[in-house]
Order: sequence, then structure tokens, then C-alpha cells
Amino acid sequence: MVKPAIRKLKGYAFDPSLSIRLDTAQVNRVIYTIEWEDLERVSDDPDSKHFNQSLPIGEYIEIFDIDPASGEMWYPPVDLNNKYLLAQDGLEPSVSNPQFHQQMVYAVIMTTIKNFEYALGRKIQWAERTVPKKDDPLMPEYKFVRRIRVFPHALRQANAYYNPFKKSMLFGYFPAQPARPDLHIPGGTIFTCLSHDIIAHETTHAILDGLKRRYIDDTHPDTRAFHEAFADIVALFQHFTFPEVLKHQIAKTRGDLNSQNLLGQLAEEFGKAMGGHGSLRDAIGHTDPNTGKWTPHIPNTSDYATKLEFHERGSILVAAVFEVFLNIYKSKIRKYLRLATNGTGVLPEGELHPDLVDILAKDASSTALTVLRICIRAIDYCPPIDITFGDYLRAIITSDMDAVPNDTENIRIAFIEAFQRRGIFPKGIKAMAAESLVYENCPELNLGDTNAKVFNDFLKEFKNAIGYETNRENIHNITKAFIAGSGATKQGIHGRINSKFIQSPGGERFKELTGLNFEQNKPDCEEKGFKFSSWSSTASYSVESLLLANRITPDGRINNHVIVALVQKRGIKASIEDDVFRIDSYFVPKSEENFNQSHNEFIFRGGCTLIFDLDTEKLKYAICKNINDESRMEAQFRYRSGYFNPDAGSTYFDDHMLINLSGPFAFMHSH
Amino acid sequence: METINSIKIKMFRHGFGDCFLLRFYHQTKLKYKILIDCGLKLHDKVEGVSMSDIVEQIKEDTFIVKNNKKIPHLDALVITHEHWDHVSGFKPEDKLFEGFQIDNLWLGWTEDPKDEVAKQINKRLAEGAIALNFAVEKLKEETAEADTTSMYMGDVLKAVKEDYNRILADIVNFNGEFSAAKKTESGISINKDLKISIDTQRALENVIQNLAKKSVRKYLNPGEIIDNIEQLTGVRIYVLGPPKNKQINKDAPSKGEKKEVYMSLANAQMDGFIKGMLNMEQAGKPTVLDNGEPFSGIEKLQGIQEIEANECVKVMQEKYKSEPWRTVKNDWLDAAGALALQMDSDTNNTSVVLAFEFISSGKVLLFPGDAQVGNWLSWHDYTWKLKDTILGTKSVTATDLLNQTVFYKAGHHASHNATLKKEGLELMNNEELVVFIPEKKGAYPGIPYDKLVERLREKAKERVIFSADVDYDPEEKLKNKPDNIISDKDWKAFKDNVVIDKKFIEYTVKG
Repeated sequence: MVKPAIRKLKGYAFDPSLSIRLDTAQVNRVIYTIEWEDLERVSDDPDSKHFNQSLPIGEYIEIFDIDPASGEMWYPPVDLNNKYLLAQDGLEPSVSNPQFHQQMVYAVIMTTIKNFEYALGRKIQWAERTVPKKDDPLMPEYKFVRRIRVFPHALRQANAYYNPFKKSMLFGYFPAQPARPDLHIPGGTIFTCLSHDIIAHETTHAILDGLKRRYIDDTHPDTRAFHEAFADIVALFQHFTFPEVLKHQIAKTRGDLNSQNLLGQLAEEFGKAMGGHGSLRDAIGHTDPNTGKWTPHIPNTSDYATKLEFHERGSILVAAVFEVFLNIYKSKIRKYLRLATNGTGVLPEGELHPDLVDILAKDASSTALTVLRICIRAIDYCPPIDITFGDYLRAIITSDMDAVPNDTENIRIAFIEAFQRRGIFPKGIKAMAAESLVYENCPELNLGDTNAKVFNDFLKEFKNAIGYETNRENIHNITKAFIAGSGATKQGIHGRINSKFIQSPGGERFKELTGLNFEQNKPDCEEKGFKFSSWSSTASYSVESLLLANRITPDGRINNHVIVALVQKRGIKASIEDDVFRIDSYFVPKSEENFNQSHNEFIFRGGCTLIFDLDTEKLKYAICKNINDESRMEAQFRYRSGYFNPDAGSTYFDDHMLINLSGPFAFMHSH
Repeated sequence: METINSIKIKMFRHGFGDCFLLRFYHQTKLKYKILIDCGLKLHDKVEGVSMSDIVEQIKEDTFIVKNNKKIPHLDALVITHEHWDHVSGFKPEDKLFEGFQIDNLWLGWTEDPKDEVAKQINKRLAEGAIALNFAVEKLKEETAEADTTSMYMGDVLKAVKEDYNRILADIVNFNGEFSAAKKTESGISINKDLKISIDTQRALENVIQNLAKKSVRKYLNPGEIIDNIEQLTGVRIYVLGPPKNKQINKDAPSKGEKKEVYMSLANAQMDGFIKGMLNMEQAGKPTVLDNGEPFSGIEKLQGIQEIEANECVKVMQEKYKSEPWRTVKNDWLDAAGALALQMDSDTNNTSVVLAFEFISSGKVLLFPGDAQVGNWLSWHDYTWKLKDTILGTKSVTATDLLNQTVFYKAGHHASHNATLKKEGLELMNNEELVVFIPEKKGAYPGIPYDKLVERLREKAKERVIFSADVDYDPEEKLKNKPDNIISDKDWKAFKDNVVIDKKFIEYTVKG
């Protein structure tokens, strides 16, 4: 028998505690359609009576339903391959059935993963685990993590988080607030693992950590905010891809373009249901508690400069992207409204025709999918470290140019406008126009013919080696071998960058493009705060990632890209006197520097994302954060000083301690 | 009529804790004596300034002569809230205040055993205290077995956890020292019939039932004015806190920081955690709340046999055990930190807040206890109606009082969230403002909060005095006039009204 292509699973469309609030009980159910995958068997022995029983363990995730906060109770694992369940699209949604909870997290996490894989054009990998090297325990070794572990009932808290140390997602549950019997059954329990948005949000944190492991570093007011906002954007627009979810609200707006922001109200309701989670809650608008009327926020060009608390700051980005969505959607549906009104655009009294509601909902959902993919794809065009909202805008514009050269729907303009309205201006950009925001296409880099050929052949070899590989662990291992080289004979990309770029006639230019420092003798290196690598005879740098991106563009072309991320670090000792920033000296960072830094010393990173086009055999983009950029050093230093002594800081426990305890996300979410 | 025209305020220098003596004078005649709190952080001390030293000083400052005998005498004793660093001086064993004559005892309405809302708050605080204490012990067990298989997450995690536990225990120590009844490692003892801990409760009971047995007890409500004390002619006392909780029956918690007031009552976020803890603490007694089970009415496995019988669960358990670095046994306990902070701020928010006003000049002395943001915000919900001989009636607002404040006892040892900015400190615009901060740097991370101290210095033009800061020499600080910010005359006026002693610093406010 041929295996089925998809698995259908029933799930909640809305957080069940929310469904009572919106009059959406009738649609509070969607069918998640997930790519089929084999699940682990309870027993591999064909003679065992459990041979046909499956566990909730797939390729990417494993769901362990232990409830440590309730006497370490174990809830039996759901058997999604059970024939009766397969015949009825899984278990019926239910608050009181833990197996359904497992099904729900499985469905949403897999949906999120597949959305990323489609947009990125490759399989996603989780962030590696750092363990001590066997023969040299002071050095780190990075290990492949096949599956993220999911605990649907791990906490007795209104919290859920991704723990990067344990490569786990932990979901909490908590009693409904008895003060609001209209919304929740008093004494009932709210489970965060039943909320599509919370699950998708946490999954996005985990995926983003796998894509950009340095984004966890809190180096700029934008970095934390970005992690949060991006997770919210994915959760929100993925949610909006279900037309069922939107129909009710669209019918309510009666197609009136000016009240289309009722979709914003829906988004806000989602945010509220997530509680302290994420930036969504107040991002788009708010409901007047007295009149019950919802009004959208009016963006202000001072927003970006003044809103520094990371939830608030994240909400700027979420609101900007939401505005883009609404604008695209509005322009798309205009034609239907004209058709439905004989060209007047004025709808008659009464309810909208259900066919029209259908069409509008479908358009809204396809617009949501477009926006979702744009937002995800842009991640590959972001620098490997120290992301700012401005960088993200440039990444969106550049990646979208690659995908859709002809912007007939004015999507890029919509993005630029929405960011501009909130005062987000990328550094060093003179004009907020697509042509100036896009990264320089195929920057000149003269490597000499043989060097270029050897390097391009190497990249193609890489493509051939993993292009058809489906096993993620193999992909991981092959990639590692391509980075480091294997044995004495085969040189890896690290060595090749060395010989084909740094040491080539284009060496100076390469330095300029990557913004890194390739000082070539030890004393010079150390004086400037770099570790000297005797292996490459330059200041040491690391190849943080090597990725293949095989994307099918919306107009049916195929982009063949290889993405290389280089990262370099240096130690800086600085001070601020009379409000003037001064670099006092540099120091060579030790192998592990994230803990116990003193107040005046900090680790500063530079990095660069290089995108190579395999078809034109050219370096297409170099997206860099310069390691010598003093203004960035100053910004990081100042941000850090505030971070150790934050204005809104809490007494007793400092952020640093809490982050080391169970990762940054646990505490970002709990307030 | 002998009108009060000066008040001498003594801040004692015994360590991290509050003890303030206010003496009200008509000319040189001592008319009235109020003691606000007397406590010291657990395990803290200052060499040569013991608690009995400062109580001796209080005796010296307050005695009256009856039958040729010196009897220490307080017209009123105020206990702002039930935290060890405010009440430890009253613990029964030390007998420090034995023999005092205390005429009036003033407590917050939250101490009133007949008040229904107070009962609710206290019940929640008691539950929280038990849960918290249990969590602290659990966390200690867990720290001992911290994972060492992950890079940086072995030693570093262990160190971080130890730090976390230490600070957690320190916050819990606000609740008092351990007693014989039920010893715990974190050093406090608790009983579910009590509010916070046996120790603070015993200290308070010692006051109510013993030391101040004969005194007139008064529970203070915000919005009240005390202006009928004959010896205090010329002074009005405004009661600003503890806040009456308006949130209890309100739909959603208010936006922003106001929700901080007794959050545990209106907010279910911590509820589940407390329930889980209570359940573990009383294992085997199916008495509490959700019985420790989030699911009810489902078929669930119970007992080891049944779990063993379920092959699938067993397989999952084997897999789970095979990777100890990613088990989640006690991760949920990390919420203890959040609970500790919440409990701490809930208790601080039960602080009595008093403003003493010279009627003639309008000058105000502000004693906010350890009131935190929510408590401060609530002051603005009230107006105090005065019968004015000239104007008929007159309303006073918190803004008026803050505006007239010439002496401010920094709230909660000058921590970051116990001096409200916009609706607090920024309204204190009186030219004469002087700030006293009872604290000892290093006792708790983040206290005092440097940025706040900086702003206090600006607002008070450097007239800021600390009680027990290590390496802090007030005489040295007063010796030289700070440049440019204050006139010679004002600085001299301030200096002349300060008396510095090893045991105390005294400041005289003239009416």
C-alpha cells in the first residue's frame, strides 16, 4: 500500500477559553492537514500486540505527557495511527482529554514546521546542543538534535516556553480566574497547550533558534523584541490561513472596507487569550472598556525611538506587518465588492451573501499565507547576529525581490510604508524606497578565475551531497563535514574561504564585504581583541552555518542558493564618562564568555550572511554587521549597562540569572 | 493651646530594617511620641548597634516619670506591615519592649480580624507562604542533582541555581526566623492558620496581647484623617494606605501597574502553582482545591501497578529516563521566584502609609512603610475633606500632600518599585525636601536602586541620608556643601537640624 500523503487531525480553531467570548462556538474547530509521517511504534517486534500502535514521536518532535506538578502523573500517549482515529480525523476536540491535547500540539507544531520548510526551501533543523568535548572538556562540541521534546502539561503556571538548554517546549495550565465567570467556568482549567497561537509561538522560537542561534543574545533593544514579535507574526498569520477562522468576523464587517480592521480586533482577541504571552495583546488596537468599541492604534513615527520595553517594542513590528496584510487584502477584495454591488461599492442593508463571505475569507487567508511566507523567507536574508527591525525590513525587501521580481501587488511598498509610519529606518539608508533598501545585488568581488571556479564547484558539490538527502541527521553531518572538511585531503568551506577569498586578490574587498577582520599575525590580532587561529593564520572566525535553499518562487522559478554565515568575536573593555563612550582596550575572549562578564567588559560580535547563487555562480548578497563598527559597539555597551541595571528591572533576581536558569523565553513570557 | 511646632525624627542605624521614632514638640516641651516599626533583616547586624542598644535609646528618649520611676512611654506605636525587618524588635523572647507604656496601637485595616476582605487577603498570603516555603525546599533538593552532561549547564547552572535559591530564601526571610514549631531550611516557619509566618505573627501578637494590651487599638483606613488628638494640636495625620482592594470584584485587573495591589487575590496566574504546592505538601490528604489533578472525570491511570500495566506509558518512561538532561521534573518550581516576589510585594502593599502635616505651614512628613507601586497609586483615589475655619470645607489630595512633603522616609529601603515616579517622587517639589533611607547596601541585590537614589539626591539637593550603609559616613558627607545645587543658607539650615550619632541620625522639622 502506498502511504497516504496527508494526515488529518481535528483541533480547536480558537483557544477554548476564547471561544465562549467570541460567538464562534460553531466554528471552533478546524481540521489540520499535515504531511504524513511515520510515527514511532510502541514495539518494533512484528509479533508484539503493540506493533501497530504508535507513539506521538515523529521526525521532528516527541511528545512526553508527564505532569510533574501533579504528582508526576503520566497521561497515556495518543495513538494517532489507531485505525479508528485515522477514520475520523483524530480525536474529537476536548478540554478534558489529555490525549487530545497531545494531538493538538502535534498538529499545530507540524503545521508550523511545514510552513517554515515551504518558505525556506529546505528541512528545518533544531539548534544544536552544546556539550563538553570528550577529549577536551573545556571546549564545546555541538550535537545534532533530532527532536524537540514537547511537554503539554509541564507547568502549573499561565506560561509556556521553549527551553533552549533542554531543547524542549513546556506548556503550563492554570485555573480559570474565578473573577470572570462569564468567560471561564470558575474552577475550570485553562491549558496553554490548547491554544493554536501559543503553540505556534513557542514552535517559532524553537525554529528561529535553530536558524539563528545568536538571536538569543540580547545585544540590542530589538533582539529580544524581534524573537517575540516574529513568533507572534507566525502565530497570527498561520492562524489567519484558516478561512473558517475568519468567516465569522468578515460576515460581521459586512465587507465594509473601513471596518476591515475588525480582523485586527480578532487578532487582538487572539493576543489577549495568550495572556502575558508575546507582543500581540495590544499591538494592533484596543477595546474601550466603557463603550466596548474597538479602535486600531494610530502608528506614530516616534514609536520605534520611544518604545523600548521588549513586549511593547515587539508590538511595533507585529502592528507594521499586520498593516501590510490589511492593505494587501483590502486592495484584493475591492473587485469583489464592486461586482457584488454593481460597481457602486455600497453594499445593501442586511447580511452579506455567504458566497461573498466565502470568497473574502479565502482571499484573506491566502493573503495571510503570502505575508507569512514573506516574513519567514526573509530570515535567510538577515545577518547572523544583532538583528534590528531595520535589518529585517531590508531582508524582507531583498528576499521578496528575489522571489517576485515584479512587484505588481505593491507588497514591498506596503511593507516600506508600514515600517516608515512607525519610525523604523534601517541604518545608513538614505531613501525609504525598495531600490535603496535592497542589498547590493552581486557585489563586485574579483577572486581570480580559478579561485572562483573551485569555490563554485565546491558549493555545487555541497548541493549535490545534500540536495536529495532526506534524513536530517545525515544533512546535519554532511553539512558539518563540508564546513570543517573531512580528513587531511578534503578541505572544508572554512579552509576554502581562507584560501579562495582571504588570501586571493579579492581579499581586501572580501574583508570589506563581510565586515570582518582577518588580521594576519598573532600580536596584531590579540591587541585588537581577536583570538588568533594558527590553523588559518588569521584572526579566528567561525562558519556558523552552511545552508542550501531551494525555493520555488510564486511565479514558478527555482532559486538555488547556498547561504553561509560567518561570525567573529572580540573582547572590548569600554567606559562611559560624561556621557562619552570610550574604548579602553581589547581583550581576547575566552572560549566561553557568556557568563560572569564584568560591567566594563563585553563580547562584541561581527557577522555576515553570504548568499551564493548556484545558477549564476556568483556571490549574490553579503549582509554584514561590521566587527569594527564603533557606533554599534557603543549601542551595545549602553544597552548592556541598562540591562544590568534596568529601569523597569526587578529587585532581587537579575535578568542574567533568570536567563541562565531556563532560557530567556521562560521569563519573557511570564510577565 | 500648645501647638506643635517641631518634630524630631530619629532613624536608627541598626542595619537593614526600619525603626523610626517621631517626637512632637511645642517649643522645647515634648508633647507626643510615635514609634513606627522596629525590625531588622534576619541575620543582619551592625557592629556595636544592637537591637537592645537602640531600644535603650528609645527608652531614654521617651520616658516619663511616674512615682519617681522612669517609665518608657509611647503615645502611639505604628506597625506598618508584617515583615521581619519591621517587626523583629517585638519578638517575645527578646523582651525588648517590656515595661513600655503604650497608649495607642495603630495597625492597617488588613490586620483587623473582623474585616472580611482582610481575611481573604491573609488566607491567600498564608497559602502562598506555605507553598513558597515548600517550593524553596524542593528547589534545594533539585539543585543538588543538577545536570552536568551539558556544556555550561553543569557547573554554571548549579551556581545559578544556588544563587537563585539563596536569594529566594532571602526574600522568604522577610517573613521571619525559624521557630521551634516547624523548622525549615529556609529559616522560616509557617502555619496555615496564620498570615505569613509564625514568627512575624508571634511578634505582632506579642504587641497586641502583651506589650500594647492596655492600649487603644485602631485599624487605619485610607482616606481617614486623625486630627482629634489634643497633644497633637497643630498636626494632622492623613492615612493613605494600606489600600482598600477595589479589584476583588472587578472584572479584569486594571491596566498597568495598578494590578500589583494584592495581585494574588485578583490574579489566577499563581493559583495553580500554589495549589500544586499545597497538594504536594499535604500529600495523601485529598483536601485541597483541584486535588492536584488538572483533569477531572477522565479515565486516568492511578498507582504504579496500573502505570506499569500500560505498555505505552512504560515505553515513554524508558525513553524519558534515557536522557536525563532534558527531563522536566522540577522546572515548574521555578515559578517560586515569581511567587516570592508577588508575596513580597503583596505584603509590602499592606503597609500603613501616614502623612503628618503641620497645619499652619502645610509641611508634610511622609512615612510610606514599604508601600509599592500599587499602594502609591491608590492614594490618588482619595480626597481628604477638611473643615477649615476660614474656607468652610477644603479638599486635600495626595498630590497636595506630596507637593508639600519636606521629609520623606524612602519606601522599601529605596528599592526600584517602592517610590512611584510620575505620581510620586516627581510631585515632591518642596524646596526643603529631605530624604532618609533605612538600608544597608548589599543586603539584597538591587536595593537600594541606584537610579532612584540618584533622582532622590537631585530632588532633595543632596539632602539624602542613609542609615546603615557599610562604609557610609554621614558626618563626612555633611562636612562639605555640595557644589552648585543648594544655597549655603539652605545647606546650613539642613546641617544644623541634623544630629548624628552612632546609633541614630536625627532630623528636626520646624513647623
